[in-house]
Amino acid sequence: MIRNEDFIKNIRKYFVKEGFSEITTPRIIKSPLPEPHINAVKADNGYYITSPELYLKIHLSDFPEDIFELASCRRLEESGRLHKECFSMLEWYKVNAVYTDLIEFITHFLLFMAEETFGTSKIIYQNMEIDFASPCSVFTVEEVFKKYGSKNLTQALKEGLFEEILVTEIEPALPKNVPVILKDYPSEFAALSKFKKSNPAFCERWELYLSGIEIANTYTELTGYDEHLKRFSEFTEERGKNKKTEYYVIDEFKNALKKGIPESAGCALGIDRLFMIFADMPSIPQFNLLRKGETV
Amino acid sequence: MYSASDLRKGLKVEIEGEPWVITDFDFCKPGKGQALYRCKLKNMITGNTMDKTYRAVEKIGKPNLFEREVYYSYKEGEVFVFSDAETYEEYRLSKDTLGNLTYFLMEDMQCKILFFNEHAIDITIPIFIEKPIKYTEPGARGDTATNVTKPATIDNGYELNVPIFVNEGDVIKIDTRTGEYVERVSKG
Repeated sequence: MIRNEDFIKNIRKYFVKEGFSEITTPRIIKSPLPEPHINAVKADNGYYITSPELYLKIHLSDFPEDIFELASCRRLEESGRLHKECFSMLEWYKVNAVYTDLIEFITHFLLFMAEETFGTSKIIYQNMEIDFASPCSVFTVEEVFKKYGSKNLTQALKEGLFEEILVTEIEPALPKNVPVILKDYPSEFAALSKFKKSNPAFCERWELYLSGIEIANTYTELTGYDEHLKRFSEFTEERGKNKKTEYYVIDEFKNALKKGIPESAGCALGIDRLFMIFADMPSIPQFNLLRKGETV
Repeated sequence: MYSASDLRKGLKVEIEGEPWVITDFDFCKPGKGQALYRCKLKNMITGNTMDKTYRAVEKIGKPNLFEREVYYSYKEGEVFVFSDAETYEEYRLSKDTLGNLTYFLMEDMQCKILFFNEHAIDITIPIFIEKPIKYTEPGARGDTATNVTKPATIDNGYELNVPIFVNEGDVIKIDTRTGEYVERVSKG
């Protein structure tokens, strides 16, 4: 039997044990960062955060240290089996690290969570055993398109079918008995991750999948001021093309970029989905995982 | 036109000139990617099913569907004639459209016909009807078990299973959705 309160307590226990500082950032901000496909919910004097990223990065520019936050977030018109408008996110940043360093970190985190919750490394999700003592299966995005997709990655990108093939063909075919990492996304989907130096057509980003369900997203974080502004201008243009609300980059974030964001790897994990897997639920819980005070 | 964000289970849409109903629906959004609206659809005329994924920017056709209240009038060969409750206009439905429901039509029965661009594509008749048993083997006297059944035929030749205690001349209630026996209404 899994209790919501223990689940949240165990998350904190792990991060504190690993030397991370818990940070609390604002829940309402003047403008979210302009990302092409994320829409914010309007609040009285701004917007509810869509993730705690903005102010965690501002914090990093002041205090370059390992940090985490459990945050209640909102995203406009997202509702389904694995989505709800108001959801809970765990986000953490490890300084002087790159994206692949966090694969081992998250493997240990998942094992810790399983052992603390159930006293064993194995859990059952929808009649399938997942063993967190096994190492993650790591594939590149290019590999899974070749292996499970009806088109290879180049063709899928050319025809604008990347997301559709990923969701309808690849995700259902991913191994379900071990955690799976898909890494090295095409640079079109870099968001705020660094491009790979060895091949800038790909970026330093991975996603964790449990039972074919996307759980967490990790980058080697972009740091340069100019590179950030270039990406934001592209994202703003794309939002404009799709007639989406215009967002802007707040001055506090621009100043943080000028001051310098430390080299780091960051991960955002949907804790409603992780709870769903641990509690063996077919869809995400409708209640809020975080207590009042931690929510908006 | 519908926007992708209007899609939900039960919504009726038009695709390539045919009406479809969404039988299963899920919103999904791969990390940092665009929203996808995944639908399982059933063709309202042929009954065929298919999976289709829409993106946020897509527009989906709204089918011109409307219902008319009608009364069943008479059978003309293989064609069943209904008259509009308001205008008395006659509509003719084929045996193919009606399927097994042909056995349950009764004169002056109130029904609803669903039209797609003036073509009748479906009919709703009352859920329960009452019919007398025309033929069945006699059951053993005093046997009131309902889990033992035997075949029986109603006046128009439709055959169904009834409990062993039902006899010829008894009036029974039939569920028109399943075509199955519900209960005995009166003894013959």
